[in-house]
Amino acid sequence: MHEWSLASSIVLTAKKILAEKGYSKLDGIDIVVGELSQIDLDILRDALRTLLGEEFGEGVEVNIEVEKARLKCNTCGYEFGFREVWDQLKQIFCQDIEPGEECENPVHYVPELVSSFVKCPKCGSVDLEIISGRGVWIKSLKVGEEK
Amino acid sequence: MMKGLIDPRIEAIRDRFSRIRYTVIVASGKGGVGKSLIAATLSLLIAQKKYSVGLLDLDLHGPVTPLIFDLEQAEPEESKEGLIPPIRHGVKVMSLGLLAKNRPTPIHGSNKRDAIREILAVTRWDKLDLLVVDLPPGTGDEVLETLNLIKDFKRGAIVVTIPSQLSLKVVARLVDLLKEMKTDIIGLVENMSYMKLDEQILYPMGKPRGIELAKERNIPYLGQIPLDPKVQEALEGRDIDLLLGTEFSKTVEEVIVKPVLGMIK
Repeated sequence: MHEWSLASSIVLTAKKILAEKGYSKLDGIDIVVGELSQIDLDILRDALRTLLGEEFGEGVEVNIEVEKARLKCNTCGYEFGFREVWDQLKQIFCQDIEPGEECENPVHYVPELVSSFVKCPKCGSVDLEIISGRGVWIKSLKVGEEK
Repeated sequence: MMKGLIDPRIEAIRDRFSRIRYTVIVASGKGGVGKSLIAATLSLLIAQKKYSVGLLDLDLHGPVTPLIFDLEQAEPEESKEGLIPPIRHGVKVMSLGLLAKNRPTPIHGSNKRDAIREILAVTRWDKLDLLVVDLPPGTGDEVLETLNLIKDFKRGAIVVTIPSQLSLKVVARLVDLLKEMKTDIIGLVENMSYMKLDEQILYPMGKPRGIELAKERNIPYLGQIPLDPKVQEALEGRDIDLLLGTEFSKTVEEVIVKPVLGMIK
């Protein structure tokens, strides 16, 4: 799982934006995480707190919001959520895992691969488009007064 | 408060590429000209000279690099800093094919740019002397996105054509695009140019004429690479040593390796 690498790129990005705008103090950061990315939110939060602390000092508020995934079938037009096809993915990668254990799969790294492993629940097509809920984004940065 | 969705992958990619000394893009406007094989052979030949080399296959729909390197069963290693590419014959190899597990990759057009960003952001190359990027044919999203994302780093393109008029016309458009996108062109190579049969030299696609395109577009003409039946034998036998002993590889060494080494030295 690459939550630490994601956290590191978020911190690098925040640092760059603050420097460009002439700020040095960060009070808070809002992150949006796409459901398809299957990010472990606890690990991401811990990683962000550690790395933000090293860069900006303790006390940077971290908010993480999860954006639900929506996929659209370009064959029949049906729109559906990730949970509706989760069992298909689980059957390929995680048949033998214990309850509570993480189901590791390539969609975590490259969400666009979802159509390699799942089909439209209505018509079985693999011509699927991701409408929302992929990747990780910085939604806002709360900056301190100090310039 | 600063608002607006910002993609942190851009900085992740910059961070990854800051550790790479030089990136060679192997491109062609046309498919089926032997681009992937040239990219693979180039990376193998340079790795043999003890440089640290990575090979990134960005063909989202028909990646063949895992087949060339006999990596169909291999997977990148997961780490908290990203995916570590498997190493074969001294080359770190990454391809969407390694994640797709031999399944088709029907990625929708609007999602292609994200897929490219994701692979570039997630792959942990660490320090490299050279990254060889095997671009898909055409001048579509994958090509544009890649050129944009690495535009601030040292990079150059090897453009591959075959002697056919059709290929040369399509490749000319790619050369124009590369120039418009301020990508240095190391040179043009003409693959499948000739065949040696006993003492005879045959030109199955007509006499090579890439040199005319190179002159017209004011880019270096690196030379001709033969159509070599031994290559097929090496690929079918998954035999990299045999591949590196072919006339094809010897010509890649003479024609492409030298100018590329000039870029990383």
